[in-house]
Amino acid sequence: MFKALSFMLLPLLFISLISGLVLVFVYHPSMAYDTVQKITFLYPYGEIYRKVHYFSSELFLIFLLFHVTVELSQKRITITRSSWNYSIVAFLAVIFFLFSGFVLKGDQSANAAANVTFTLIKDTPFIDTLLPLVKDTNIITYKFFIWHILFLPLILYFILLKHVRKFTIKTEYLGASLFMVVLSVLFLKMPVDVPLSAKGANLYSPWFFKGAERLLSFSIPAILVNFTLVFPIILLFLFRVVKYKNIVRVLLLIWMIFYTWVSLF
Amino acid sequence: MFKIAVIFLFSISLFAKSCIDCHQKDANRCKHSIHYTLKKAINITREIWGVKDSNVTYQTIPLSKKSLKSVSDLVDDFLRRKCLKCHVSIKSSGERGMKRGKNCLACHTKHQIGGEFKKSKTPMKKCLSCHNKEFIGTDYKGLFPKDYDKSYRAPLTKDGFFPPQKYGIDFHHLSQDIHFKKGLTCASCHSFKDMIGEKKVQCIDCHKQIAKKNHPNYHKNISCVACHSSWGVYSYELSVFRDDIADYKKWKNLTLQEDGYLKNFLKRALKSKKKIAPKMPDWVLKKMKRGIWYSGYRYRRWEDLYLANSKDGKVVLIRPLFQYRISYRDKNGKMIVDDKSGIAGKKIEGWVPYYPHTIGKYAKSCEECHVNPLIMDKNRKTQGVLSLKKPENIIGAKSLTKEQIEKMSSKKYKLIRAKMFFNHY
Amino acid sequence: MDDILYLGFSVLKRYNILRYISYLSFFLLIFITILYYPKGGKGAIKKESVDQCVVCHKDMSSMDDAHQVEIFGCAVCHGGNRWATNKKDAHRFMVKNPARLEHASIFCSKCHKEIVKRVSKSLMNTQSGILNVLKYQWKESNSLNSTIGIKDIRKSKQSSLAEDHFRKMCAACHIDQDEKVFDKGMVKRGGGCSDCHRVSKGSGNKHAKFSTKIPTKNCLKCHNRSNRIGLSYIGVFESEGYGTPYKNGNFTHKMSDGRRFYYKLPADIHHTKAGLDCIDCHTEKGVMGDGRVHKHMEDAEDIKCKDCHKAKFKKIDTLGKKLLYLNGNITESNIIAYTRKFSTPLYNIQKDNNTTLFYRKIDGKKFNLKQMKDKPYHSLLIHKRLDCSACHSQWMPSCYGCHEVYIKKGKQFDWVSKRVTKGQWQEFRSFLRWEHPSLGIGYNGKIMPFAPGCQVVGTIFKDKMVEKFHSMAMAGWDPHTTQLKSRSCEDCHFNPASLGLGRGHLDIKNGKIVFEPIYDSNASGMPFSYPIDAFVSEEGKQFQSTSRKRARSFNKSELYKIVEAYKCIICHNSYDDKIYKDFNNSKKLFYSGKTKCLK
Repeated sequence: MFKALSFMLLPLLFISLISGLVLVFVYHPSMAYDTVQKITFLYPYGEIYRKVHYFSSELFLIFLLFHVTVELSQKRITITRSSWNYSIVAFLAVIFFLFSGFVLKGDQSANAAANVTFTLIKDTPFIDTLLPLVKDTNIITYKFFIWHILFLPLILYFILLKHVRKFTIKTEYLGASLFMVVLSVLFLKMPVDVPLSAKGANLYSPWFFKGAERLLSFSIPAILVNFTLVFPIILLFLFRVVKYKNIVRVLLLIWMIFYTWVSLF
Repeated sequence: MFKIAVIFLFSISLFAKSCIDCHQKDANRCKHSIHYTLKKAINITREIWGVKDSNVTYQTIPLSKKSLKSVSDLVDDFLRRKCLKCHVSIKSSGERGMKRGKNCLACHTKHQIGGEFKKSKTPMKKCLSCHNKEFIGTDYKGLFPKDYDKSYRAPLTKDGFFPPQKYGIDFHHLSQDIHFKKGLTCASCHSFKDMIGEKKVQCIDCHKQIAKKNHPNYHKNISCVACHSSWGVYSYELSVFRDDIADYKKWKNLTLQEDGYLKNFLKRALKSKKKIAPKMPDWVLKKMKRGIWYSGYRYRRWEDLYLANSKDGKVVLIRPLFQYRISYRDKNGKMIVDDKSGIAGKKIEGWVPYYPHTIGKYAKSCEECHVNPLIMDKNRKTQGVLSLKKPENIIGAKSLTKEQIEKMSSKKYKLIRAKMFFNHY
Repeated sequence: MDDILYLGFSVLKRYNILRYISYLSFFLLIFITILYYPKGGKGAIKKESVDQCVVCHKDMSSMDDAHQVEIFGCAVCHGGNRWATNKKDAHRFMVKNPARLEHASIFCSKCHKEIVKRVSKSLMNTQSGILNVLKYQWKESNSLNSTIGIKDIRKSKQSSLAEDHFRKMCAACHIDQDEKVFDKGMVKRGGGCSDCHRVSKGSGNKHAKFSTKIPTKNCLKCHNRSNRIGLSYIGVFESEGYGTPYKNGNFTHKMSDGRRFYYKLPADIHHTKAGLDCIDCHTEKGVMGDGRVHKHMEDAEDIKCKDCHKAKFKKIDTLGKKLLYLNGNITESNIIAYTRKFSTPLYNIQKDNNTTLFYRKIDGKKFNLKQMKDKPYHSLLIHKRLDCSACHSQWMPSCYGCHEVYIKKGKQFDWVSKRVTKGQWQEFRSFLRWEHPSLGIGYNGKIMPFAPGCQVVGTIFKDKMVEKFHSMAMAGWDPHTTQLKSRSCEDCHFNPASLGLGRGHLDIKNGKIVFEPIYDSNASGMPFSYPIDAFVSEEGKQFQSTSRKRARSFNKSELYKIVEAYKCIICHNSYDDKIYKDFNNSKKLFYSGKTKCLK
C-alpha cells in the first residue's frame, strides 16, 4: 500500500502553499537576502513560516520521488497515457519550483546556483534563446520570483488537474503531513544563509542539483550536463511506450546511481 | 730543569727576594714608576668622581667603605674591580691576550707563562696585554674596539663561526701606524727611562732632521701627532652601573663589555636555572666581592678631532677619556646613585691630552683642523648627544683661545693654503 | 510490504490514530509557536531601525563623523546578519576588521570602490619595490622593472634566498598584514585601511576611531627601519645598542619594539618649527597610489619640496573644494597650490596677498610659508644639479656592513604565509654613523645624500657547507632631517666622506687628489678590498652598486671639478661672490693670470 504515500503529496503541497502565501507578503525580489533575513529574525513567527515552507516543500519532493519509484515498479499501469505524460511535466515543474525557491533565498549559494543555471542555458545551442526567461539583467531573483509565485503555481494547478482529476486532501493525511512538518521544524536545521559579503564561505546547492554542478565543475560541456538532466525524463516518457519495461527501469536505476555518485564524490 | 727552576723562582710573588737580589737599583726605580703605582690614572679618576686632593697609589688605594652613599664613595670600588686588573701584579683577568707574568716577568720575558727568560727587548704582546682597546697600544696595530651589542660580532669567519675576541672584544681593522708597518715594536721607541717616567720619548729623538726641515713657523708649537696621526679612539660617555642584585636577563645581548670575567659570568648566569649571586673580583685584594659593574658607551668614533693648549705651551690633541655617568643599586634594590653625570654643577668628565699611535704616511690636510666644526665652530648645536662632542673639563690643558681660533680662519691662513694648492707643493 | 502498510493505515483508520495524530500536530504547532516567540531571547526592537545590532551593542559610538552609527548601522560595514538578535546568527559571517583589503573590496568598496582599488595596487601594499630591488641586488633577477609583489610570491611553495629573506625580515610591514600575527610587545601593523586611518583603538562600547587627519605615529609603525625616514624626521637615531644612559637600573631610550635603542638628534625643521605630520606634505595620491602599478617609491611619490616652497597657484577645483570642506579646520579659499607631478590640490597652501600661508591639516594652525629665496645660492647655475636634500640635510642614518646569516636548518616566522617555516635569518652590522652623509647622483639625476642601502655580506649555513656571498650597494634618498641653514661649502667640497671616498685624509698634491682611507676592509674580515664606507675611489671608480639605473657615485671628472672648486672657495666662500656668476670664465681669467688672487 505504498499508494498511501501519494496521499501525502497534496497535503504537503497545500501546507507549502499556505505558508508561502504568508511569506510573499514580506519578501521582495529586489532585496531578496535582506527580506529573507527580516522574515527569519525580525518578524514574529517569521522563522516558523519559513521553516514550515521549506520542510514541507522538501518533504513534498521526497515523497514525490517515492511516488514515482512506486509507480514505476508497478506491474500494471493504471493511469492513462496522457495522465502519465502530464505527470512527468508536473514532475519537471516541481523540480523547477523547488529550484526557484532555492534561488529566491537570495544568499551567495542561491546566486551561485542561479549563475550555474544561466551557464547551463547559455552554453547550449538552441536553448540559449530561452535565457531571458530566467535571467534578469539587474535583479537575479526577479524572474525566478515570477516563476515561483505566478507561472509555476498556475502550470502546476492545471497539469495536476489533468493528472489527479480531483484535488482531495484527506484529513488524516493532512494531519500526518503536518506532523512530519512540525517534527522537522522542531528537530531539523535549515541550511545556513551565506551573505553576499562573506568571503571564502562554503557554498552549497540544492541536493538534487548538486550532481549537475559537479559535472560542470569537471569542465564537462553544458550540452552533456543538460542531456544528463533530461535523460531520465526521456526514459520516463519512453517507459510508457516500450515493451520491455525492465530495460527502462534498469537504465533509470543506473542513472540514479551515476547521479548520486557524481553528487557525493 | 734549570730553566723551570728559574721560572718558578721568578714567578712567585717573592718579588723582593728574587730579581731584587741582583737588580736592586732598577727594581727600586720600577717600584716608584707609574707602571707600578698607577698614580695618574687612579688620582685623576678619584678627583673627577669627587674625592678632593687625591694622592694614592695602587698599593695605597683605600678599601671601599661599608656604606656607599655617593659617587665619591664608589670610586675606589670601581677602580679596584674594573680598572686595576691591568697591573703588573695580576697574571690574567680572563680575556684572551691579556695574560702576563707577574711583576718583573710582566714585561721582561719573551714568552708568556711557562716561557724562558731571555734577555731581549720586551715583545709587543706583553705591552698590549694591558695597553689595549681605548688605551694607546692596539691602535698602533690598527685595531679599534667594536661596539658591545651582540649584533656587532660580524663578519663571521669563513667557516661560519663568530670571530674570536681578543682583549675582551671584537675589533675593526683600521689603518696601521707606519712605524708598525715598517717593523718597529713598542720597545723600539719606548726606552726603560720612558717606562719609569724619567724621560718621555719624543718624535724628534729619531726624526731630528724632518722636524726642522718641513715645518713652518706657524706650526712650530703643534705636537707631531696632531697632524701626523691618522685616527684615534674617541669613546663618548661611559655609563657605569653597579648592580648588587641578580638581574641578568637584560644583558643577554651585551655580554661582551671588554671584561673577560663579566663575559663568562653572564654566560653562566643566563644559562643557569638557579639565581646566581652577582659577584666580581676585587683585583687588588684578589677576592670576590658582591656586586657587578656593568658599563656601556654612548657611541665611539675614530674620525673626530679636538685641539687644546697643553701645560707646556704646545697645541695637542685631546680626547674624552673620563666621561662618566654613574649608577648604583644596592642589594635591596634601591637606587643609591641613579645616573649621576655631575657633581656640584660640574660634569663628571675629563678630557686629556692624547697622542694616538696611528701615524699615517702623510700628514693631515689643513682642512681637517682649520675647517673642522668640532674645533672651529663653538656655536654649533650641542644639545643631547651632540653635547658630548664639546670638551668642558680638560685636565692638564686648556681649550683653544678665541684668538687662536680666529687666527686659524684668518685671511693669512687662507692665502697660504690657497697658494699651497696652486704652487704644487 | 504493501499489505503491512495497508494494514498499518487501516489500523490507524480504525483506531482513529490518524485523527489523533492530526490533533497532536495542531497542538504541537501551537507549542512551537510559543517556543519560537520571541526569537532571539533579548527581544527584537519594534521600530524599523537600520539594523538590530544595537539590541545588544547599545551605545556603540561612531567610527567618525562621516560614518555615523545612527545612519549607517553596523552590518553594512561589518557584515553578519543585521536582523538577528542572538549572538550565533548575528555574528555568523561577520568581519571584525572590514578595513582589511580583502574585506574592504566588498564592504568599503560599496562607497569607496576607486580608493580600495588604488590602495591594493600601491607599493605600500604589494611591497614590490623592496622585493624586486632585493632580488636584483642578490643577483636573482637582472631587471629592476619587475613589479611582482607579496601576492605573487604568496602562492609559491619554494622560495629563493632573497624571497625567503624578504618573507622573514621585510614582509611584516605591509598595509594588508594581519594584525593578529604580531606577538605581545610587538608593534601591531597592518589591518588594511585601518593601518593608516585608525587613530585610536576601540574597546567595549567605543568603536575604533578613524580619521583622515593621520598622526605621524601611525606612519612610524612601519617607517622606522630600512632607511629610517620616519625616525629621522622626529629626530630619533637608531643607536649602537648600548642601552645607555642607565636610569633606575634599567636601559633607557628603548624603541617600541623592545630590541633596538635610540638617541635623539636634531629633528627635521618641519617637525620642530611647525609640528607638521607626514600628511601635511605627503598627498593622498602619492601615498595611496594613483591607480598605476609603480616600480619604485619615487615613481609613486607626488610631493616635492618645490610644491610648497615655490608654490604654483591655480583656481581651486572640485576635488580641492571637497577636501577643504572635509578637513573642517582650514578656511576656504578660491586659490590653492597644486603639486607639479600629479596636479593634486594642496588645499592647505593658500595665498594672502603676497604671503604664502600653510595650514596644518591636523588642527588648521596657520604658518607663513617661506618661499624659496631667489638668491644666488639657489639660482647659481653651477649648483643646478643639486637636489634640495643635498645641502639641507643635517644628518643621515648610515648603517655600514649588514651581515646576514642564513641557517637552513633553523626556523623563523614567515610573515607572508604567517607561520613558522624552515630557514632562519640573523642580522649583524659593522658600525653606524650619522655625520657627513655621502653624496652621489640619485635616481632623479640630481645630487642627493647617499647611505648604505644595503651592504650585505652574507653567510649561508646549508647542511655541512658554508657559503658566502656579498652585495654592496649604496642608495640615495631624502633623509628627512632638513635644516634651514645648508651644509658649509667645505663640508661637501673637501670632505672625503661627503664626496663618497670614505672616512680618511684628503689632500691635493701636485694637482692630484690624494686620499688615504682609514678603514681596512680586508683585515676586518670583509670579502673586498675597498674601505666599507667608500662609494668611489679617488680615480672615480665606483666600488659599490646602486639599485637605480640613473643612480651612481661621482665620476672622476665630477670629483675633480668639486675638489678643484674648493681651491677658490677657501677665500671666495660666499655665494654672492661675483666670480661664481660665470665660474668657467672666472677660472679662465685666473689661470691666465688676469686676476688679483694669491698676490
